[in-house]
Amino acid sequence: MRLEERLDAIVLGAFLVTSAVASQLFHRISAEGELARERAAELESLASLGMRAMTAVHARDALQIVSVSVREHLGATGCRVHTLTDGRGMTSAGDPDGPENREPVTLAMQRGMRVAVLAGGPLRVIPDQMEPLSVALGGQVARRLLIPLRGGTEVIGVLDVEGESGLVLDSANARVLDALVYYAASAAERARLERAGARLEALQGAEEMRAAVLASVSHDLRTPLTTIKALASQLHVMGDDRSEVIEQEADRLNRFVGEMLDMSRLTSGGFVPRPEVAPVEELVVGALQQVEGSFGERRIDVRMPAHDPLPLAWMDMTHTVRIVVNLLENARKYSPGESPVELVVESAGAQMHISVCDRGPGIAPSEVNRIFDALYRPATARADAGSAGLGLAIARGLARAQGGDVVWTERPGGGSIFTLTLPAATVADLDPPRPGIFTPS
Amino acid sequence: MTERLRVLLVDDESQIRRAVTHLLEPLHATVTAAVSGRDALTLAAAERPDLIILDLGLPDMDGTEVCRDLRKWSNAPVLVLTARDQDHDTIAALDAGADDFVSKPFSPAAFLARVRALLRRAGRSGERQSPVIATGELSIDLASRTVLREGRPVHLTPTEWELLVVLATHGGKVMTHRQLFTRVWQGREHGDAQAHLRVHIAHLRQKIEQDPVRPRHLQTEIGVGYRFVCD
Repeated sequence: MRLEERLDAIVLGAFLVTSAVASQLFHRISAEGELARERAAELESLASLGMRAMTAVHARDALQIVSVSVREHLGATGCRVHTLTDGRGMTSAGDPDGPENREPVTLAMQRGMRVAVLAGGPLRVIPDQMEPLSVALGGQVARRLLIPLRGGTEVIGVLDVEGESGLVLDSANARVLDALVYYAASAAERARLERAGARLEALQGAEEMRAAVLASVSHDLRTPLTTIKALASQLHVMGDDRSEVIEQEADRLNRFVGEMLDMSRLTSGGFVPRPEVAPVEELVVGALQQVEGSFGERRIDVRMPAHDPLPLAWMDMTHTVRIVVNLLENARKYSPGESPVELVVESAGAQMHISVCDRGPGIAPSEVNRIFDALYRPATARADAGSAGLGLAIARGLARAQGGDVVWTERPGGGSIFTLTLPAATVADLDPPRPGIFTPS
Repeated sequence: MTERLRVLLVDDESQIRRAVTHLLEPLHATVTAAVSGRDALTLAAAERPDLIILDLGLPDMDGTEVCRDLRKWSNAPVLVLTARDQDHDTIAALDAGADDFVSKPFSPAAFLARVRALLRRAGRSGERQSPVIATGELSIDLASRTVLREGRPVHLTPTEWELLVVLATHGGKVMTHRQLFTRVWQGREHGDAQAHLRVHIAHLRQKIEQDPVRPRHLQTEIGVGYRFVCD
């Protein structure tokens, strides 16, 4: 439910309660003719109070209105409404000269029961919510009264009324107090929702800001990186071998930025995959095209399914290529030596498996659950492995966002197998009849 | 004496302009710089450049718009500078008439290779001398509509043939999914165009490539299109 809708519901509820109280009063009025005029005035002032409290622009104003009314109607000398804040602290609205002592407030808040401060200082907790105050106090004079305010089943605040020479709690006053407690509770709930809404807005603002900053950082980095690479190639022409290192480092920096952007999109929900039916071969072509440069002499052995000439799967091509690239790069970085990396495509019923198998050190059992965490790098990893430790987290995130997954298994004979699973497709999935205008995705 | 090559470089960032100018040195070209789309159009009309290098993120105009305006009166090859997360803009620019793209930060070698390929293609303008496109182990005869791989005929379906012809006659140039679809299917009704295109390309690779997962000719530009590479 949106904030506005909840506020509307509260206002509606408040008017329903007002009318219930009013009709109850009205019945008594007709029975007790003498009191009719007095009660009519009471009714009118309650209704007008309700109107004012509920239409106040801010919850704090509503609390103020309630607190002023309590003083007017009950002859109280001070009134405040304490509401819980998110940090479980308290904030108070109403009479600036209101009661100071926090102890009874905390008691009422924690127990969710009414608390009376009697003449001379002793506290009296009234456990029965329904018991009329005058009955519960049995003739004792209350100088201060603390009534819990509820939002649903939770106590969200306390109405705090003080009468220096004692509060008069006859049945008429008790009824007014009931109504005021209700208004105060609505206003306190509203205050809570306003805070939650403000927090949500702040969070959204922060998220937008983060995305904007990342996008701009990545754009601002591209220019100097392009320049650096161009200058490196000048150095190379002049015969300086260090140019190669400069270029590699620029590429590495560029990868970091790309990974950070991907991660940010994944965690903020900014990545919306559009899976389509596509040949797995195209995925393999795209991934190999990107990584074979960095593999140099090292081989990537590709095995396609023997009995399916055209394996198909549902995938968002651009992002799925990134998954396979990350897995291949991961294999290159963490499995040293010249042993070839295998890329195996197998169809497994309703799923397509694309596995990257290496002969590296494998993963220690204690680390299996953590390798897919962002920024995690195994203890055995070289410090200069050239990665921010986001590759596997991104791979799994991108896979899961489109109905697949990435899992690790131990490779028989030593090493790791990282398997990307995607929903398999058939040629029959290819032909949803659609109007023939080309609609690029 | 041959005339010097004229290159129009359009980028609002001075660092990129300087870097690209350095990279172009081996071509001994006269490089004219423009910092906005409007500048670019004016200078292109005045200088008649042999090549236009165009950044897509210009302050005043969409790069795509610049391409579209240029193409109304100029055939000069256009190489766009783009970024990894700008697939949409890249495709739009290519569809609007740009010839190729490189993503920033680009490798100098790849950049120069693209520039040279564009100039070579532009220099070959006019009629094709021979109906046969021969590259490596592959020979495509446009007249007799036959394909030979290592001298042996390859059987292609009509769609695969059309696709191969469109790609091979634009050798070296990246063709967007839309461009291929429009030329091969000519607007006929079809289901999911992009998915069908990928499937046909996969079949074609299996027929004409020695190693279909490492295609020498039918290369992919993920998210953008395909490119037929001649040896």
